[in-house]
Amino acid sequence: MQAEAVRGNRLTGFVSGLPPVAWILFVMVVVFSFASPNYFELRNISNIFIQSMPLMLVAFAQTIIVLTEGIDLSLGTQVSFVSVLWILLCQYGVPILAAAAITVAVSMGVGATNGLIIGKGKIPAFIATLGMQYVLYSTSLLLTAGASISFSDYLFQFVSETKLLFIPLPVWITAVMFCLTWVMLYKTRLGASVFALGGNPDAVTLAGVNANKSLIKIYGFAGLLTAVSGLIITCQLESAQPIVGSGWEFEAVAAALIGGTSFREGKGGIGGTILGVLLISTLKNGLNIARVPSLYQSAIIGTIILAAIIIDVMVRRRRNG
Amino acid sequence: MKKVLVGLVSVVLLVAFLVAGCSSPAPKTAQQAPAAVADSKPVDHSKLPTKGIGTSISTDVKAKKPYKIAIIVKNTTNPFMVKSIAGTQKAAKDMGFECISLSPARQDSIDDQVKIMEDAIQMGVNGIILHPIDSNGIMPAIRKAEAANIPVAVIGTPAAKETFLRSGVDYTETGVLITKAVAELIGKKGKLIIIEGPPGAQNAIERLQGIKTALKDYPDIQVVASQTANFKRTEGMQVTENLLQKYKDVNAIIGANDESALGAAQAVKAAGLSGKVVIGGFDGNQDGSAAIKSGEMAVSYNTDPFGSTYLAAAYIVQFLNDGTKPPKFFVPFPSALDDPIINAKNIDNYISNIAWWK
Amino acid sequence: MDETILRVHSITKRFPGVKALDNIDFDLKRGEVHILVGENGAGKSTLAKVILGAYVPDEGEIFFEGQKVAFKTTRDALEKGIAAVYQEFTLFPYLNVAQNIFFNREPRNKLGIIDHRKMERDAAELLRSLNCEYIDVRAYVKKLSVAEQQMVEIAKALSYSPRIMVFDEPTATLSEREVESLFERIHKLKAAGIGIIYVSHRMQEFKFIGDRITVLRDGKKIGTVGINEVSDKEIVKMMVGRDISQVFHRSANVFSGEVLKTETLSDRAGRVKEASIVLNKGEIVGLAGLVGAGRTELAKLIFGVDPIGGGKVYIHGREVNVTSPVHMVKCGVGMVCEDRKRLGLAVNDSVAWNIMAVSLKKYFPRFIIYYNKAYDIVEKYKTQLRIATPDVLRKCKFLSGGNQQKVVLAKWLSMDTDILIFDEPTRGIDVGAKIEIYGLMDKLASEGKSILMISSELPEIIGMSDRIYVIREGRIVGECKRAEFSTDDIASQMLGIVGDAHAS
Repeated sequence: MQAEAVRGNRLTGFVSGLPPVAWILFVMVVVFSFASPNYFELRNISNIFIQSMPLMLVAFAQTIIVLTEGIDLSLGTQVSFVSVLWILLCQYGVPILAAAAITVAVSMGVGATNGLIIGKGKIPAFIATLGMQYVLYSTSLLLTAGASISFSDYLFQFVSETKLLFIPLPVWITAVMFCLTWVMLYKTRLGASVFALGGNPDAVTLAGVNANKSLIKIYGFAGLLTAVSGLIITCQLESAQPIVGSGWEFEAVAAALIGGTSFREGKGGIGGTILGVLLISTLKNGLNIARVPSLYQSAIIGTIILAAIIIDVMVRRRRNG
Repeated sequence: MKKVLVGLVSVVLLVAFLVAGCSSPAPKTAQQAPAAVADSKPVDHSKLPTKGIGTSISTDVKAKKPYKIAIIVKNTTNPFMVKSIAGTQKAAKDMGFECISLSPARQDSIDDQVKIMEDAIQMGVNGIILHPIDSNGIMPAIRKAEAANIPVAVIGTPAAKETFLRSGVDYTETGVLITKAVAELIGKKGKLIIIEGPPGAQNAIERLQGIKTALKDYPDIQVVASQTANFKRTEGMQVTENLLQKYKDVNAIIGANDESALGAAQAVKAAGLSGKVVIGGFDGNQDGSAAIKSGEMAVSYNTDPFGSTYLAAAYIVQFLNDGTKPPKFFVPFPSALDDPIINAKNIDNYISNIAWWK
Repeated sequence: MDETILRVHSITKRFPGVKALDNIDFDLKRGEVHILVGENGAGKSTLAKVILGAYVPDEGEIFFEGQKVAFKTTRDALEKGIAAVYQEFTLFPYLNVAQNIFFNREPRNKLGIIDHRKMERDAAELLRSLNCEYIDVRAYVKKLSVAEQQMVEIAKALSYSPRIMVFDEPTATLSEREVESLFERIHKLKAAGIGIIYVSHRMQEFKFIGDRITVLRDGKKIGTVGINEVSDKEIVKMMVGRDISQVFHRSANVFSGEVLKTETLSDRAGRVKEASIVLNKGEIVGLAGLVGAGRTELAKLIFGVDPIGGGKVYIHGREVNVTSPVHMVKCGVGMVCEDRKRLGLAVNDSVAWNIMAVSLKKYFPRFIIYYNKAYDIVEKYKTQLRIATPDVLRKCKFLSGGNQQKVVLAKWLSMDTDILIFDEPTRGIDVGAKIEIYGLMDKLASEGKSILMISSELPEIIGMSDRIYVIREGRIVGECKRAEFSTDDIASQMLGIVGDAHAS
């Protein structure tokens, strides 16, 4: 996003400056389009986008946390928890939008608690958030007695089926959250502290910043993103799903890494994460449409994720000389 | 550090209160019975489009066009799911349609299954046979399929609302029939342990209701314990081991599926009670069948995923041919009319001619 | 201009098992440069950190402009106008220069949105005042050289408009030209009435910049003297508590046979151009040049860190295919890196592990590690190099710079490496440890090892080398033998004033 000067013609500069994952994505779309006639249709492209929005939001959250040299293993169960809490509140008679607001607040609180445990408690992020994952996992299951809870409201269909200027509402919502995250990362002090914490954590304190407070805010912000993700997936499934988000945290890490974010030095950003998520979603969708049996799919997805990350690292290394 | 500890403890307590405060009303809401289980009387078998059960199933129905029919399962690790695909594939060969099998890349993931439904619709399939991962969560996807005029036949876990067809066993009925079989074997009296399925799982709940309903006819049978083993063999063994310490004189054990019943059988053997305890399970899977043959288990229920999907395919093909709809929404299969109980007497025939897992 | 701005009164600071500062008095006047010196662990960094609010003292008082103050965090000190240029960089690799300078003080609008334009303008202004306008304020710090990062570090401290500035070894990584401009800047700051605490080991700088000097040893204050009242030798004596007759000692030696030779060696990035050098057995060869002249780059080429663009490398007369550092270690080459923390040492691992890391395979070729034997080896080097650590299992990050460097040296000694490349071997190390390292280098060369030394400190290069190559803009522009050494000649070759007249 920042400095790197664009040399020569702007367009060629832009094209050669694209991260490698963009090329891999492009190649995949071409391959799938040839492999199956139904692939390159507006409807399917729209499908891919709608399907990937909830994961996209979680991946944004994971990206900012990975930038701080942390990881949040509880993001997936946070999504499930949000789904459960929202519907339960609705069932207790809380108006649906008010319930959504409460749920978002609780989710941010859960994130902030992660930040508190990691910062003040000096517990490694891996362990702290793993603990939170377990707690939320069983809380969600206990609250629903293990099963999903159905609830109907016009809002659900409104969110999952409305289109504005041919673009589905979940995509708009995600776009707004992207802008919010972008501004937070690149235009606020909190954002600077995200990169700083990953780059040189000791120096953050020397600069007079309360690193613990920053961590609480950052994980809280992640909680906001997962909350919106949980609300969208609940609308799409029209029910509270106690285990819907399990495993998303890892797909989110994969998407962030594919997008060029690094576990070291606070390197990366959320722009690449968009491509990372689209790569994963496109792969899953394309493999289904090309009728690749699911037992092969995981292996193919894993291989391509690895290849994408390796190519990304190599290309970046070459570019930097 | 002290402050942190206090903070942590209060967070944990908060969560605990939240759980405690909300968990009491939750079961009510969670067990929302799917809309259409009320009318579950078996359909007259002469009217079914298929003959036989298990791998011996056959049909006269032929597809008039090379339809594309998708079978969407929950995962590809459970033999039950694998045989559902196999059943559809045999149906495709017999009836002349194209079978597309799809499974979530992430096992048992409802959002992945919804995506797969959308992908299937995108591929332009003519019909869908579906093992829903979640009754409620799958509904939006089913609605989309129906909006595209694609009939959806569900097997196993029902969808929250009526669709084109529901087939597969009626879980309540399986519970009733197995309980009756076990009760007869112990002379209608004695002590019984129930190994339950996962709390909240729809099929486990219905099966347990069936067991309890049947027990009303046997006042001399006393249920001494009822605990969950989550459909797992290891847990079935542990739970039974613990219970056998307390109840050495137990006469029968019913496991919510073959796996948990097999775990119970291992525990019984280890406790030196072989032959003294009658063990019943559900599914008629490979290990379960072997256990019935060796006498470690007494009875099981042939839940036949192979035949169920085959039957569902036949109904879909009929509908696509000339618009014939199933006689009613829920066609339980195999039902009591199909002689689904596997026991020592019919086990050889079951293994060689019927067993769905072959 | 004789007004005391800061007074530290009988400060004591204890760490578990150590009294890091014992009843220290210290004062700083407006517009003076007060130099703080001492050996490793003497307590000078601790004292600086107490003044900066990074440590809270156990006893004693601090008066700032006559007012008693008690700093709890560095922020408290910063708010009073006490800023620091730390020895360890406090920069963030993936924030740009401007963001680093104004970290956590970014100009914002009412919504909390940062005004990048203003921030970049102000940062450029600060850099210009340091004669560093060539540094792009929008470049990631990661992409800057070490010297450029140091300048950013200084600009950052200046941005606080401080009343007191603490410099912790600011020149360790700077080339002479940059040092000059820094000193110019410090003189300006002095003139503006800012009090400066200057922690340094470079004796040649003291007279140039300092007004008074305070010497610490073992947490105690030895004395404060006016800079013109003492000689270098007296200062050294105060620091180490013993007489140092000669800092640099190079025994006469006979060199036999080439061990390392490069022929028209170039890299791919154009920072090293057709460099041909020779290193003989038992010889110490200096590689002199400004920061960025291609010294470190040449060393990295030889060690296989960077890919070779052209030319050949011979070891013991045989051409080797330089593929990777691992391969070069097998060929008997070792390198002590400039950036010790990042490249030379696993700071989070123990002393023992660091010493044994490279040579494990040599001592234990059959996969099994006999710990008793390993510890014997480690203890041997600990004693031989006088590594000051309570036990060899202590993590390296708790060691002082000099001791860390000794661990790095021990690593290569344990490998019995023939050819050693030292890149700034005494950077950030105090005089006592420096002398030990010089002595060690001399001993190694006498034992038949060959050393290629890179250094920014001319006295060090001249004092220790048997032969010197001068490198400028990637090319070897001069070569001279010990007998012909002259500071002026070498310096002018480094700067390119004489042109290539002396080039070999």
